[in-house]
Amino acid sequence: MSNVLSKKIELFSTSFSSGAIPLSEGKIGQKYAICEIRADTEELLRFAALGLYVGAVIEPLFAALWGSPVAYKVADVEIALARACARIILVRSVRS
Amino acid sequence: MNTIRSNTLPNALTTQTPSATSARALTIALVGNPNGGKTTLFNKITGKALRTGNRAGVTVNNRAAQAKNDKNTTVVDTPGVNALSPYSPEERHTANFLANTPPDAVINVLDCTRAERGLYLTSQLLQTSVPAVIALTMADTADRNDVARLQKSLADALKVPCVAIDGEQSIRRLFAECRAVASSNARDEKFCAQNRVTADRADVPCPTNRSERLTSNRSVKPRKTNFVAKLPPTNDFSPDAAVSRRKTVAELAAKLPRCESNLRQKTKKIDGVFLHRLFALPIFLFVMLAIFFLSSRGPCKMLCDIIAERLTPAIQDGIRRLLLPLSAPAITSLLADGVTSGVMSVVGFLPQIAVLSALMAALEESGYMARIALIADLPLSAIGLCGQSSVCLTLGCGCSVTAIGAAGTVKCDKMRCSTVSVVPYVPCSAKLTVIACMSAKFFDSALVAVSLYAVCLAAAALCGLLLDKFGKSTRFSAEIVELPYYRLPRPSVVGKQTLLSVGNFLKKAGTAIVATSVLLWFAQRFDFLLRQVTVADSICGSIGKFLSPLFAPLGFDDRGNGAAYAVATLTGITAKEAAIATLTVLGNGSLPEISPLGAYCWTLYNLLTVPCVATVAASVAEQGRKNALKAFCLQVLIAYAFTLFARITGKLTQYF
Repeated sequence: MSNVLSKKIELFSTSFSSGAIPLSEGKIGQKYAICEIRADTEELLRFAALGLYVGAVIEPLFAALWGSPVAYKVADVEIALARACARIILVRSVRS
Repeated sequence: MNTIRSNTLPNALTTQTPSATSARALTIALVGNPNGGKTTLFNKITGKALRTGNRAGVTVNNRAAQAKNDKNTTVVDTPGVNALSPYSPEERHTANFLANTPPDAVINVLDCTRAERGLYLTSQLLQTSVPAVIALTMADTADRNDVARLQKSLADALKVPCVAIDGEQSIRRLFAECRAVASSNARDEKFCAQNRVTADRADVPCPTNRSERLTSNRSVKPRKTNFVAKLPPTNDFSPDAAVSRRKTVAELAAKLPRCESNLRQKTKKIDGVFLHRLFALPIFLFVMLAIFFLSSRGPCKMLCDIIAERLTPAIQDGIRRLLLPLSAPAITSLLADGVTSGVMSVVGFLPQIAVLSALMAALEESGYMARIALIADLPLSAIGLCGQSSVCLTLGCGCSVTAIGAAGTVKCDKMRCSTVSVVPYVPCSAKLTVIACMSAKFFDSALVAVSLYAVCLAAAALCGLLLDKFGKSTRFSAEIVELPYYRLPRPSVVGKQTLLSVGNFLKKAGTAIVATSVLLWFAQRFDFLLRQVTVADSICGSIGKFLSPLFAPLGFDDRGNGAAYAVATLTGITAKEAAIATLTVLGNGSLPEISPLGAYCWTLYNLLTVPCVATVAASVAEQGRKNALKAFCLQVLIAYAFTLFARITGKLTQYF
């Protein structure tokens, strides 16, 4: 149990120390590059089919009334992701 | 718009017309992304009127029809998919269809304003051996020159014919291209047969997955272009391969000219208002209220009332008068009370269903339906539902049947079943009649009626949570919603879809409602020896008396009228108002004596238990018998538990 916990903390700290934030915390109008998606194989494939993969650029467009879901622009498509879904996608800010 | 052909295809084929090649029967499949315009194209090619929508997930199964200009060609509309990976049911379905019954050609429907999104699927299709033609949809919303440039670039890069769809002429060209590629890639049937036999033999290693079968049971080799050569193998379903494919597609998309839809900017502006933090909720509530009042109140309600209160009794009287000379009361009652009331209850729903279907079609066409999901998702996800369920729950306040009819707009299967299961808990107008009648006789305070309503909503939330907790988790598809462009609803599409929905209601739910009405008529008028008796002694009455000990803990029997209230609970399955009518008959013109707590418990149980027969039929039609049965069992359990809890709480309150 403690091993699992420490591994999670390690993962968490590694991601955040390298400047990555969950997509759910992204700012509207700012472009981000996806650096990690914490999902199983099936979800990773479905994310990839939608254009969400490591290296893809994503831009939060606007948030819904309650702050979730948030609409994003990925490649040439606008999609809305629930906060829970956006939380597993880690991104890094892209300076244009 | 000209057809751009690959340089590698014979020139002779470019001039081929459908009539020239119509000797051989062909099967052509439409494959593309969700909300890419496949069904619209299918309707244009075949002249059919299948359900379309400005959102993803409208087509859930293959639908086939003959082409209107070429009776030798069958066109198959497949569900929208983003990829050919074997995970979502739609993707599995499309992949299996292409592998097991490969069509002669595939029309890859590609939204030219969102080409990069669609090229992922295109890349997978090009690696199969099924000849493909690309149909560029949404061409009418983009600059013609941009579309022409994209068309040429795509055809050159992918070595497949590419047709921009912008009118009847382009459909004919698309067809000619399909016939051309199908003829140029004519299958060696003997080779195919041998290959299938080999694959079926146990001693020979057979292709282990769909993608290998896709390329092995055809004599035609997949196209090899620079683009295809860079792609990972189709049988590699690892995330790395998916990312590599995406990157290859992105590289290609970067080289292609962009087609900006003129709807994109308009959509951005409209979203600025409709999804504004301050205006989004008032606009959403206004739309919900408008749908509710237009489909459940106003002229629609008036028409329903005229059918129920004037037309139905008039027809019943007419039948009775017509059959009076026969002196056969049983047959007269069967036709007048059983069949006519069943048929007229179906007819009574038609105005509501028609208005609702038209409104839903208009909402879908406009693109606002996807935004509704966006606005209402967070609060509804707390009770295991999704944003799209909000329309159904709102309509449930008027009539559960129409609300369940609207559940087709919920994209995710699991969410749709949950929504259909939760809707009957929302007190409909018929249940409000029960609350009003019982309140007038037994309760002094209006707060009692309000508390009944609140308990129903709590039960709906509990049901949603239970289904979410114990059902298979499929939030993924509900958590990602694609936002389509806003468009003005086309009257022809709205009209066709309204007719389609009304037809489906008559076919699926209508027949069940009539059959069950006749069955209930029989159970309320005959005993087990098939003698015509009063309701109290009928089959229904006997079952009610048999079940009354079960209801005793709920307080139905606290003044000795438990059997009457049990019978009324059963007859309430016909329609909730029928329960009050039964009680009035059994109480000789007034409601039988019961304590206020008993009355509260009886009302609560009837609000929460199995709904009316029309709702049951609509629920079975929407989610299937198995899921509907599970939902109704859960409903009876929740109704019993809540009522028992209310009775115990009431008793304790009296005690203290």
